[in-house]
Amino acid sequence: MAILIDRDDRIVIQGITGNVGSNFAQRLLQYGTPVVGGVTPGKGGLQVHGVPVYDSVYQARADLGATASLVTVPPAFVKDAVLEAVDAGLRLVVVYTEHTPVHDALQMCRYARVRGTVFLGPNSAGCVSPGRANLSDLNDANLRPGRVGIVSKSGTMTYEAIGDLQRAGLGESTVVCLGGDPVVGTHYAEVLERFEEDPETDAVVLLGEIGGQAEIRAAEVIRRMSKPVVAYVAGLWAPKDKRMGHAGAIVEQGNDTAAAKIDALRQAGALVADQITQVGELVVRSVES
Amino acid sequence: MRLYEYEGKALLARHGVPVPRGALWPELPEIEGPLVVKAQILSGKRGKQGGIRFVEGPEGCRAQVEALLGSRLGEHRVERVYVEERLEIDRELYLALMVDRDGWGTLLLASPQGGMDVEEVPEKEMVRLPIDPLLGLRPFAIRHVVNRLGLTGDAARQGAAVCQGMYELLTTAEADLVEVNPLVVTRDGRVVAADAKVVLDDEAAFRHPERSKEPREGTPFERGCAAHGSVGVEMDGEVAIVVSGAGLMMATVDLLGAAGVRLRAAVDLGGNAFSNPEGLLEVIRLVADLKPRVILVNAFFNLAFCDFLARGVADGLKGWQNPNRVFVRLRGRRLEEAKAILAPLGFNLFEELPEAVQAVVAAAREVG
Repeated sequence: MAILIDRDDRIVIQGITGNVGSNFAQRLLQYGTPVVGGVTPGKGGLQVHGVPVYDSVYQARADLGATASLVTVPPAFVKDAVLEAVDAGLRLVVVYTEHTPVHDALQMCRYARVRGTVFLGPNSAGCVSPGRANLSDLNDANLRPGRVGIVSKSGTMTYEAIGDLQRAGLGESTVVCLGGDPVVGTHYAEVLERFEEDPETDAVVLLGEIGGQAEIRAAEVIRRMSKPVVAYVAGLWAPKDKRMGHAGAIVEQGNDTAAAKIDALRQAGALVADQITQVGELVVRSVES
Repeated sequence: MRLYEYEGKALLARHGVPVPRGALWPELPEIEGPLVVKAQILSGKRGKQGGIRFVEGPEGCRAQVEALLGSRLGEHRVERVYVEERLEIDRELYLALMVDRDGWGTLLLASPQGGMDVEEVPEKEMVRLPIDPLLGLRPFAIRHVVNRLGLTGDAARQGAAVCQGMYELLTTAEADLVEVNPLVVTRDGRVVAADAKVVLDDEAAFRHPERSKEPREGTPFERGCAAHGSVGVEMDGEVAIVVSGAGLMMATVDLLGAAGVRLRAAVDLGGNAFSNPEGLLEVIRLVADLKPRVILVNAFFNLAFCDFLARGVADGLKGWQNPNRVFVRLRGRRLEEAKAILAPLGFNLFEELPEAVQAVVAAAREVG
């Protein structure tokens, strides 16, 4: 059983009739991810790439037994889409959409937590367990099943780390992208706890960045973990007071710098890579020892 | 987007928080008596820098305004001056509401000692109250805050209204931060916001069409990138990097920084890397206009097409003087098509990041 998503999940895409949603549907279906339908209010009854479109998540859940959702609707509609998916009782909701207003994110995150829904994003590249189910923008062709778990805020940094693992001959159990926004539904600590319990994961890669306290809190979990954790925190050389691409990647308090996070992670027992290109090598070393 | 004090105060007033009577120069508030002349800059430290002047009446304003307008306070040039009623202060408090990114809510900060830098407020005096966005700011929370601020009687009632107004501003105007420091209790018992720091959530701008979309902060290059949907960061070194996403951009900055390379700019292309040919072209041109000695384009795509990015890079760097100092690292679909576009231009092409970085480091040493 993979930690977040598996082949027995039943996935709907909210926004499936849009460009982004429709492309997701086509690609995920092609690689065997269990996408069973989509939701676009007002477009119920249509078919997209052979799966039915519903007007509401409630109906998709009733008719299809939906368990998870990928949200690709425009920013103005993200909040309602997520609240509906959580309210309908889905187990996992991933928001791929970028540029969601922060107060919308706060309400979505809180409601998901109150209802016990796992919520990734906003601005998340998704999650994938290679060979089983892919609820992400990662290309199945670049992934290979393996025993390394990855948890990251960033999509593009994750691609690079997966490429580096591949050079080292390693594959992934589950890859989880939390999202690059300042307020996201799930933090590293919770995913690390799942990886620690996961019999299919031997080692974990944590990819962090400047801004916020999530990496510092992750360190508290790493301290208790039996599995090795290899970490890289981006932004050690980032100029001060600049937003480094992600809305959340900015140093605001002084305890949210890359140096502070690297320190905390190292003290908790993580192997910290100086560069993204050393991640694979360190994972090999951590699994051997 | 960070607001000037006078804009923040206008928002506060709209949400029922009392502010001193004031006007933006050359207008003056219709008050006889002592006034404060305040430089409007996007920084909190103006008091210590002489940006706040006291005058005894309207006739004293002009001289102070003229001294301030056009002057520099730290890094900021004063372009606007606000004139307001001078309050007779009994007590100075601190009150702020902010998005708490790590706590999935809002954080209310309050202290019975305000007026100084917030870092100087004694920690044991500071109330830190997390507000659940699903509950909102409830009466019990307000009672606690007002109590800890030491407000009683009518001042307590006014303080409660201030809390409510600030929370309403935070959530309906969609701000990341609403800070009032100091919140003043006047000698005649009024509770008034004597200063205002408001930071609005840029992502919510689409719901507030009355707001200017014009970015206020950053260099012309950074504002240009933002206007075209990318994030640019300008620095003063030799090498510009253009990257397919934020995480990889930061990782690339780290790789080059550790090797002693000084950057001219770093760009996260965002969606322009794969979906917006005009935006991509404009951003590449903005990078070219910075005249970096060396350029690194770094993209690792999973789904997007390399040749799309290659075309934008080729067009944006048309006629570039030193093609041998342009380095392009690409991975992803339609890589061969991308190479066919870029190779004839004489750019250096790579698939692996370490090799590309090594070549950039060598080129940077040559020019630096």
